[in-house]
Amino acid sequence: MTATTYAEYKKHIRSLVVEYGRAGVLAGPVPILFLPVHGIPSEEGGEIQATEPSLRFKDGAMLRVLERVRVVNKKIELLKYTYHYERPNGYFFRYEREESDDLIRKPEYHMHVILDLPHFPAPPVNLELILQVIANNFYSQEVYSRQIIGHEIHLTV
Amino acid sequence: MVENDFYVEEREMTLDEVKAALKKYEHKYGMSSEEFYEKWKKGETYLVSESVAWSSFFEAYQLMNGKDFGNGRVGE
Repeated sequence: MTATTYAEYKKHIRSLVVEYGRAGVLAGPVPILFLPVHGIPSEEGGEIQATEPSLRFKDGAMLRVLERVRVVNKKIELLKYTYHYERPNGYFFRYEREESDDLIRKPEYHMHVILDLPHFPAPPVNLELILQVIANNFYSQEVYSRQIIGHEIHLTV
Repeated sequence: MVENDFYVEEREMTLDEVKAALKKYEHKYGMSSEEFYEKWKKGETYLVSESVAWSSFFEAYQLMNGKDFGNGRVGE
């Protein structure tokens, strides 16, 4: 990603979803809505969201996306984000960056899998990486992907 | 492959859309957005899976309505 302004970053997001739409992974229409953020001039950043409604995949899965973006010294910073991927049968994972004082139970960068708790520590991610992870794990025709789809889980925590 | 109905809709979210999103969360989780936001700031919303979006929409709602955040007037 080479964006150095908020306008360029928004174009980058658009090109990402177009790429996955043309590949037949995402289904249309794709909504990308912008929100103002207190303390961030609109030319320097804001929020980019596809949560209400979310992005949709060709198999009925969905991805909720929200990013709080600010450009500092020509560098894109994601101050807060959520990427929630959910399959039609309810299986989900969610990566988030969210303010927190509890470094163990809720690290600032965390992820959830299947349940809303616990918050597992996770590396920083972005939409480009999340779409790659989803496409390669759930929409690839390779053997690896076929071993994931249709796998049933029956468990009690 | 390009799906026939595939296109990207980019635009600013309207105040009515923000309000509708807030109402949806309030109904789903059984509390007002103000109540949620106070709990969220204290780290007491572990089971609200849409807490990031809800808090953002609530802050955007306050900003679009010109309300005070408690740390300075919006728009200053």
